[in-house]
Amino acid sequence: MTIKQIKNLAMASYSNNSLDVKKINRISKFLNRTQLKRYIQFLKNFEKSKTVIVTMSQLNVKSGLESELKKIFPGKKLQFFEDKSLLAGLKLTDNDIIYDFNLKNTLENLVSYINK
Amino acid sequence: MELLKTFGVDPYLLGAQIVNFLIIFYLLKRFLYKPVLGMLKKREDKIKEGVKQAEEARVTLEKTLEQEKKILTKAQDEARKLIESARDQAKEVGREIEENTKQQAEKILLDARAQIEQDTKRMEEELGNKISVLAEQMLEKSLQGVFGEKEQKQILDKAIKNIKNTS
Repeated sequence: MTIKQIKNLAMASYSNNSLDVKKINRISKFLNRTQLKRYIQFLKNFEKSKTVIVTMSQLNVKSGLESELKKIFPGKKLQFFEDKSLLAGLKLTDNDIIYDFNLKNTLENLVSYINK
Repeated sequence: MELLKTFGVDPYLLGAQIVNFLIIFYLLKRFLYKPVLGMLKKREDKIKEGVKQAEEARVTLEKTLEQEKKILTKAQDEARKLIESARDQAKEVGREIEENTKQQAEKILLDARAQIEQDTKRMEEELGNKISVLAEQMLEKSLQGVFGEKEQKQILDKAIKNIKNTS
């Protein structure tokens, strides 16, 4: 089985834009160890590209934010995490793009600017 | 003859004595005087030769002494010159060493000053960095929990606006 075929299998494992466990179980029975490793890697990459990780200083203020973010990143899942060290604001990780809009990052930038 | 007889001289005996004397004189001259005189002559020549050699030796000795004196004087002059030259060289070398030492000391001093300045600058930079990091940590600690729900929402709205603009 070629890499392209494994990639197509990984893409076919989705139903309604989310992972289908039944399909995955069926596909994984026909793959050997190496192919299974590649298949899992493709699934992870797809999941990563479909997910936006939102890190906030306080999770209790996310209610209005979620709808706004869904507009900005349509068709993507949002995962929320709390990190009090951010002080205020948020940090967004969209695949390999990171948006840092928090007070901790601002302070760090300020310190590095002063040290220069 | 009568007169000779008066004095008791026998002419024959006298003649015989003269003949004897001549014979003895001839024999002595022939066998004794000549070798003895030859030996004396040889001895005299030998002594003259010895005296001459002694004179020559004396002259040679005087010349040698004179030469020795000259050589000694020359050697003393040369030694004196050598000592003076060595003394001058030693003074020159001493002066050069002193100069070099002075230059090296100045260089070491300059290097040390530069090193101290560099170290001070580095320490100041490190101290500045540490102070900045400490200030940042202090701010982080002191700002935790300071922002209420309202402020947080305001900040998030601003952040959303920024994300919309950048994406």
